[in-house]
Amino acid sequence: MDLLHRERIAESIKSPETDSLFIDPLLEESQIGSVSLDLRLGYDFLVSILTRKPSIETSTAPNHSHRGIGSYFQETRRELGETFVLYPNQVVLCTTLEYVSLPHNMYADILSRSSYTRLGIPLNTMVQPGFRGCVPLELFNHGNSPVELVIGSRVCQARFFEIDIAVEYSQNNNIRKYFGHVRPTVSSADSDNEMQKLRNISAILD
Amino acid sequence: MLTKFLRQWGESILLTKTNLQLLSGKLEKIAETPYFSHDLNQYLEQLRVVTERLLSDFNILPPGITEAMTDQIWIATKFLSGSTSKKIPYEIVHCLKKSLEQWTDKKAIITTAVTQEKGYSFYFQGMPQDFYSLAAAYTGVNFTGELVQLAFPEIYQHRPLLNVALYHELGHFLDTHHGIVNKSLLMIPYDELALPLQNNDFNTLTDQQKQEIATHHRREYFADIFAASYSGNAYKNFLKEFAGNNPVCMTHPATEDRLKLIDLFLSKQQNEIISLFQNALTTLNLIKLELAFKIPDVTEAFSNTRPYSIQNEKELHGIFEASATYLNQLSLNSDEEIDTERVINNLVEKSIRNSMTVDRWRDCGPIT
Repeated sequence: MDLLHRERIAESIKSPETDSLFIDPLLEESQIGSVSLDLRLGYDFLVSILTRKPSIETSTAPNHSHRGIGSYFQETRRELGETFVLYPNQVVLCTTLEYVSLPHNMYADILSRSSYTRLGIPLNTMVQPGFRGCVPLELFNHGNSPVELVIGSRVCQARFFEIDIAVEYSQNNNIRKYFGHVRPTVSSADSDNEMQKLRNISAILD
Repeated sequence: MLTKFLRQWGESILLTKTNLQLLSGKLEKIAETPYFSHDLNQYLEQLRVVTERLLSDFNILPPGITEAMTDQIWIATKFLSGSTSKKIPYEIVHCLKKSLEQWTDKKAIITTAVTQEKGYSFYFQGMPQDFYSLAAAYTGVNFTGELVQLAFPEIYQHRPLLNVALYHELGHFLDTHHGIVNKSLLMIPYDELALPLQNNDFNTLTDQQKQEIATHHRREYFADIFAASYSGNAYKNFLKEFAGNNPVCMTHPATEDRLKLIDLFLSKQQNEIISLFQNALTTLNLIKLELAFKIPDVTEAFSNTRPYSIQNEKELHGIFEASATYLNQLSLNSDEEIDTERVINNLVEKSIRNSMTVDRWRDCGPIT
């Protein structure tokens, strides 16, 4: 497994091969660093809100009082250069400005840039080989003060790793729900296949 | 014209005043969430001043004037409210703005409202010029822009390929704005140009009814050709799928006839209706209707589930036909269809958005 350096990242982006690294738009060449690539804050947000329900239910129990996870989030949008205020203890889902396409033998770690980690906004996520879409970002402000974020600012960085074999992103028939997205999407925890099995186990407990 | 705008005064004075007061409150609430657009914010402020002055001078203004203006403020409020709901098809609105720039030097501000039913889903609602004249005369407010009020189905918010009908609605705005169909009626009266509607079914109608129908139908034909001039077969095919079996009625020609006219226009064939519009446009010193788009080859990008990099404004409009054609020629099983339709629409949306982002980044110059 190799960590890609500046020349390899640039080379893969410029490659005419269909199975290469693709970042669009790459507004500045300077986004490519020594061993990483800076990614920018996107413009669509899903902001968590409080509801009458005491908790988000990840169980799929089909009863009339079940409230979908999407209803705990409010959609909003900003334009490039505008600001978005991230309040302490609030979950906000968004994406990178860039549409990213990874080759089938490359995965990426997405980490916050240190300037934002120091404000109490850490990011740590992984993108699978073969991914297509705007990278989902889950923002959370661990600090005490609201933080004003600018749309289009470089909030995170990607480290790219090449692996020995090419793998299929869409295998197992259940991956495509996060494929080709250009806006943030809420958690699908309540539609996890294993939930039904776990509920059955719960029902037969002594 | 003014008398048409000032319809028979019918409300009680109290109801008009109540409506105005409620609209004032609603506009104040809308203003609490500023728009992205400075032009829209400015329009909102001017509308609020008009509303406040109508209220403060309520007792000395003619009731008919106040009532008619209140009705228009109500309509504008609906669209201004829709534009804060975050349910705007931002990317196609960007395309519409680009086409609008070619047709008017005046500041025209596009606002959208969402609809919930199929039957009356896409429409344009005009703001009469008389409203602006009366606002200037009675409240001293000279609006610096005009609202372009377009409505679309909420469920299509993230389906740019299903929103190409908004080009048609923009065509209605430009027709009203420039008086294009009215000019055509002066050049060739309704009874001298046989439209497909004029068959036996309409023989029992009065001349006035026939003239009204002909005017409506000419408006639809103009808006169709306008839409086709920017989005080509993407619009034609959407019209066919969305309203393919609609027969002729008082307000619209039969879809079949509309599709035939669009085909003639797209294949650059002559037709007396198209020629009439072109001549009216020339008389009004406007540009002619022509194919204002270039169809990019999106196959390589979309086959790899990547957005296409739009090269110029003609491709910005042309991406609709390119993408619709790409989607239609895919051989998909029923499990794949819906997911692929979603992804292709996402790619269209992102292609347009990337083009907007790159343009804005470039236009702001180098980093200093």
